[in-house]
Amino acid sequence: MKRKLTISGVIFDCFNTLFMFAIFVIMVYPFLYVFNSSISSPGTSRGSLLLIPSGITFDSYKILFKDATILRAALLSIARSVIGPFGMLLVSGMAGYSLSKRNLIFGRFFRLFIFFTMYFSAGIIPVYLLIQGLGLTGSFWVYILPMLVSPFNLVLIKTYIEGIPESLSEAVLIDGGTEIDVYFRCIIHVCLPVNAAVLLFSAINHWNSFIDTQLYNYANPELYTLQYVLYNTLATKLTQSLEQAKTAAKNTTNTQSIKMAISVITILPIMCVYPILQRYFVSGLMIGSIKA
Amino acid sequence: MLRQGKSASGLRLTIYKQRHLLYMLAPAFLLTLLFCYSPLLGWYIAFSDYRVGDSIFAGRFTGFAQFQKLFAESKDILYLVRNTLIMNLGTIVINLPFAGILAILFKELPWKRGAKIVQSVSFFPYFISWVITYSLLLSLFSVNSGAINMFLIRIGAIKRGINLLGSPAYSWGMMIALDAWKYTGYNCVIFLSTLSGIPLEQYEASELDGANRFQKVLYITVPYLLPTLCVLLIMNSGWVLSSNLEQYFIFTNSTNWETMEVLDMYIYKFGLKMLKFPYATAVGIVKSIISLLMICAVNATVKKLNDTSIF
Amino acid sequence: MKKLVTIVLVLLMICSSCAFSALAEQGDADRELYTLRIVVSPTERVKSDDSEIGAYIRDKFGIVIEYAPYSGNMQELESLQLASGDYGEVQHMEYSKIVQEYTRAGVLIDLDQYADQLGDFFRVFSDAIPYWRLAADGKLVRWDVSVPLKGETDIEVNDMAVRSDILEYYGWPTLVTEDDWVDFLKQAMIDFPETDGMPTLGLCVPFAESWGMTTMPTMLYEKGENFVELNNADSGVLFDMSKDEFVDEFLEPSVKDSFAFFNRLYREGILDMESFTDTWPAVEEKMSNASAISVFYTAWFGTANQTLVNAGKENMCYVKLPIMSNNQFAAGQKRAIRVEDTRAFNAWGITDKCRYPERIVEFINWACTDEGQITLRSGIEGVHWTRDDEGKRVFTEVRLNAINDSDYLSRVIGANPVPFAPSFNLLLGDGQYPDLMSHTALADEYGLNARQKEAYAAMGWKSSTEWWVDHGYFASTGLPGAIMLDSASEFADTAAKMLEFRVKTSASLIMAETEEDFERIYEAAVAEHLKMNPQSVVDEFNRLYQEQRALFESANAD
Repeated sequence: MKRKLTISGVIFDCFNTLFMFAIFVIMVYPFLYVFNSSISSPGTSRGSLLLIPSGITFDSYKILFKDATILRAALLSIARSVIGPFGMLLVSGMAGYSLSKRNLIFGRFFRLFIFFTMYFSAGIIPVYLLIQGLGLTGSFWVYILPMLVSPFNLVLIKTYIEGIPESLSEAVLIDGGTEIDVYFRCIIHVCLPVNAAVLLFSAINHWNSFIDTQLYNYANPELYTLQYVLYNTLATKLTQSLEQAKTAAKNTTNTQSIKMAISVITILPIMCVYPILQRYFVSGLMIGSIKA
Repeated sequence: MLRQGKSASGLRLTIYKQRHLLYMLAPAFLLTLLFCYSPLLGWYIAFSDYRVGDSIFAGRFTGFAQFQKLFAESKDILYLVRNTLIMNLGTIVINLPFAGILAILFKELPWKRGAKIVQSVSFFPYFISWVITYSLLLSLFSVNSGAINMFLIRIGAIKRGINLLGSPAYSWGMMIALDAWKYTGYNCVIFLSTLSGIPLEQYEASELDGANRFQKVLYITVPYLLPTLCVLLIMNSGWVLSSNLEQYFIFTNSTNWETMEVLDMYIYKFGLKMLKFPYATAVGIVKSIISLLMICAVNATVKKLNDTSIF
Repeated sequence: MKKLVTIVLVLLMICSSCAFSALAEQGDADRELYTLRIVVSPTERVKSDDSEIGAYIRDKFGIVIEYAPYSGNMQELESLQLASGDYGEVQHMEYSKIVQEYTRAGVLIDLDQYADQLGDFFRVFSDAIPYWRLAADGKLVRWDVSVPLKGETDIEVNDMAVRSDILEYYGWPTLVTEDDWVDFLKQAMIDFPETDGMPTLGLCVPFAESWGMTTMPTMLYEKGENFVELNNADSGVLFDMSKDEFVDEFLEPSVKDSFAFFNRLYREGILDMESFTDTWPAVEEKMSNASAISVFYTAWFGTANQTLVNAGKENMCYVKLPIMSNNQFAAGQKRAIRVEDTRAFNAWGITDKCRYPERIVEFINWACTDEGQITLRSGIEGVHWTRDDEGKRVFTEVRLNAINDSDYLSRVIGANPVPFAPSFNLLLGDGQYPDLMSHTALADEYGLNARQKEAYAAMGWKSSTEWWVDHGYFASTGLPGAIMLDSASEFADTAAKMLEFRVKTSASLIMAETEEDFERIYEAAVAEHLKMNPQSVVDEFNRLYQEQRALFESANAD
């Protein structure tokens, strides 16, 4: 799409570009610091801005990967980060579509019913007793089932659907389809941008999740997630740090750089997945082509 | 069309007609009922003298004793509520619109590749845990040796290091700015996905009408973003009394507590940490009720102004 | 002929009894394996029998421990376990609150029913058991690990760590009182403004630790002869041994002295301003690069010293020196060194979920025998230690090398493989402690590096704890240390509020700009403090103390 060039437009573009550059620095520098810190020796890197790493060493990563269980935990985290989001999309997407209908019987009640759950909690003990009573403690499904309904994402999907013209769904209904057909044949494709966003959020949530392992599966090493294993390794180093002569001797790593390494290990896979999903919520060409 | 005749048969007919919609809603409804509402029976703890190790319903009924205790303490808690509200409202009012504007700026940048890169990069801070964020701030802003402090002293801009982390003056500004830094990328994705849904024909049509770039943004893009912004505003308003404990635990210390300490810290310290589950539950109930009232109020207001609402 | 028959019969009897006992050993090894899962703080260990000592225990008792590492808050976990009934067979209880809840819920089994099998247990813990009964209405349902620690073995004095090169520069001065330290640090900051290009810091403290502000600003109270730090110190009371009663912590003169000391450090520019936002790793960092001249209370410099040695800055290594308030010194007070009788931080109990309580009982009683305790703490005879010509235990080469290698010690050798096994420092039958490293001479020999030994020798000290031993006396925590408030009572609420207030005022007290300001802020704080009715908490503690003491005396009179 060609744009007409105007003076005010060009000035605006210049400022915009500078602004973007500033944003870039603010967002990237901290991560650059984290990354460089994870491969720098603590002794030499104190008090510096760490624009480049100093005293490069991969000891922090070696310590983290020494744990044999890390591979299994990574696979488990990947499993839940795939099953969880798609499950959530299915359940919450359908519900979002249903609730977007203004004339849904008892619609107001249902919307409030699901939406309000974001603002109260029964408390740590009742929830634990429920999970325990359902037999979900010490199980993989405790990672999936409670998170199948995500009110936040549901509302995002619902709001998006409300912006879609009625004509699209009517076409399917006239052809003799049910609302279920409308959703799966038509709406779900039109919702690609918001679905991609919601999948991303959910995947990140699952990937980073730590508390549910700690609460429900702490006694089941075969169900540890990646975050949990990493933080256990870190915590082990923390408790040993008072007597740890050997590693400190080389001064190539301390608990700080291990924490940094954990951050890097956590973010890298997401950063690989992110570009794949990004093009779905950044493009603007989807609706036109579908309609045609 | 069916008359609203005898309501019983009218109701059953409507349910039948909408049965597919209800089938689609069923899984979410049942799961929510199971995981969110059934444990609410545990709220009985707030009305009894429950102690750890007892069955939840075995406690002696104490009525509103815990709630009375809360209101007796309310003067002490006032400063906590103030801190929480200021930091959360500041985040909502400043950061959400900022993310929306940023989304528009991304779209308007002529250099598409650059926009994509910066947009991806804006997501990074989301992954940096609060613990690391604090360490980073320490190394940049610690009074004696922080890199930025040292730099500013060297160029003569300041005499003594800015005590960003140890002084009550900076708490609010710092936390709001940190929230922006951490969540802008996240919120931006939501706005961008909305922008992706705008039909291009709208822009083309407006060009034929002679609209310039700025007008296109103002009359097409912004109105499309507004519902999303409103929805986010409404949802966040319900969390106005809640705080991320992991975040505040690290940043609160003995020198900045006056402006940094939040309500959830109080619940943790005087409730959970002391094993006073009835009291902690009671405070949680009050917090929930206030949050829900808040949502209803904001929703109603936004509905009036913009005809967008969540329910 | 008869003589021959008798001799043969006797020989036969001896042989068969040997054979039987050998068979009995074998029988032990064939016993069914009993695996317990125990939640512990994060560790790399997986199972107890991966290590040498753990394997020995498996062979002897058939008991194996699976470690479930938990990096979250232990107290929260243990409450949740109790609330949901998901507790272990042998359960750890951290701190008196949790012990109270478990006891009240009645899930711990009564050990008195096994009194016959627990002879050694009762002998070793004869002092502590009455206190443990107190918390449980006279029943014995728990034991603590790491008590008793008698006398010279655990001189845990967390006073001051200071750079030895600066001490040397001033000719190894005697630093004891506040004045000594302030003068020394002031001068040191003038003479040593920078270290390796970084500004030198006078005194560092990790106030930002979760226990930082609650514990350290008032710490000078325990440097005299009337107070030791008790488990109930966070309840707003201290136990005055000279008056034999509990007193209000905030109103205590030596506590005010402590605040005044920190204020003075602040006004003189000695106190590192980052202390308020520093956690322990940050302070350790400052020791590792020697930018801190001194460190208060957290004088744990093992890693830091090692780092300095490896960086070629051995002369800057830290040593530990004492500190007292001016008033304590002027009054000629000795130093009360704490000896813990009970340690509710590491309390254990057998729960009603235990499948084979008798086997656990058998094990913990064995742990209380000389043989058991030596095995658990020092290792296996012939492998980790041997007896020399005089019958004294000495470590083998392997074990000596492991002293500074905690990874080898815990993973391969497996010291203390069973978390709930009693672990104490009493002189055993052979006149030595279970862990040879408890002997100060040995600990110094292997624990101190060359520079530290040089420093102590230059100061004329014969051991790293000589000053305290010479100027102090050992004070047991005793009954006062076992008195706890009922966590559901309003006294507990008041105590929590008192503590909260003290923590919040501490920073403004320390950062008063002048002495008059300090007095003013202190007076205002006292007034505010009194509004909370702190005396009610003190009175309650004293009431409980009197009540328990009466019970004690009547029980002992029988």
